[in-house]
Amino acid sequence: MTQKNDPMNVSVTEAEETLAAIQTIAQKTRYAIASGGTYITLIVTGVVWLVGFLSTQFLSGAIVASIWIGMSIVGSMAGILLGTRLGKRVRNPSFNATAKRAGIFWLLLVLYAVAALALARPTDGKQVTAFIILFIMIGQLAMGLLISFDAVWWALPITALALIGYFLLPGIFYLWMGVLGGGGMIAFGLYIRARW
Amino acid sequence: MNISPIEAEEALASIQVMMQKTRRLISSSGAYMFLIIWGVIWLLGFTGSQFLSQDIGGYAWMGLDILGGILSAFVGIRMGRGVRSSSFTSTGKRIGIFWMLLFFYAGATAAVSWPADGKQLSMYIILGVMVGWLAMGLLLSFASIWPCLVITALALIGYFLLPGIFYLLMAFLGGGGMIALGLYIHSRW
Repeated sequence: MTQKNDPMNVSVTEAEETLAAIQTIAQKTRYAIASGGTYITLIVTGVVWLVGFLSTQFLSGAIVASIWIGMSIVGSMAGILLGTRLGKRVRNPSFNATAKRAGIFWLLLVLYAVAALALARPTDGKQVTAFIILFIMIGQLAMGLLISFDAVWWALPITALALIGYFLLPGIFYLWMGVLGGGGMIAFGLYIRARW
Repeated sequence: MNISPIEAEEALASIQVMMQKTRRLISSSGAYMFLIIWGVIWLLGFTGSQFLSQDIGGYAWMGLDILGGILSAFVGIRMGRGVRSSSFTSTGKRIGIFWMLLFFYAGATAAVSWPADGKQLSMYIILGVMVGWLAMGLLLSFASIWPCLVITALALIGYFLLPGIFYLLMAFLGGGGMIALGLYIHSRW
């Protein structure tokens, strides 16, 4: 292991202490974030998915797009309100820096998802939906690096449900995602609220 | 485990300092070697895809991936010997699990868009690796994502505008870029 002569050098002991502290802080931050807003995010996203996917399964035409747009706007507004409320509770430059970093990550992830869609040239709505779900779940798992995988493991069953629905149950894919994906998120959000 | 807003603020302030120190640790521990190893593999693999037949190029990639896996395991074991700590193991484990899941997601993306040709599959792998790089930026330093964005832009330009030399472009700019970043981390972080 090479060491460099500058103030930011760390010895093995320092590194171990630092990493031990990171774990404790990550644990505390995880609980702070969970008690602050994760359950609301899950419930809001779950409701958007439930209503959006059910309408995609049973309705057709322009109304479906309108419902998705309307639900997405409502969901985004709820997210902004929640973010503002949390921002008022914790005012700190490093909190802002972390939040900004996470925001930039999600923004870039959207661009990567668009790039992947441009490469795949999907032929139907189900393919587009599956792509979007995969990228959202990757984003959630990346948040696990910042917080803890305990807070984001739910992304894995949602991914599994999406892939099972896409490959094995294409006829009821949207219904499947609405009830099990959206409903599952709502149930998990309520569970966090009640038990964490 | 309840914490007050002040405690949360203190904790979040400490995170930044610790991320900086962790970055130093990664540099001094030899983690940059992963970038150099995989940069060389991309360099050789994509050059092979450009100039060899599809079958031979495929076998070359397989051999290179196995070699990369063995070398990465060797470097990882050496790093593990250098720093023995349950928290280091835990952070390393978390990063490892994330990359493993990302590999699975890249596979799922390819499966959803099947049938895909060689260039499309290469692009899914590139996008997957770059998303992983972005995620590492969350954990370490967002300054390190610039090369990742440049490589992504070059890959997309190569794919859409220069399909005839796509693999060659990825070999030198993608593979070469990773080698350069590995050397940069080693000398500057």
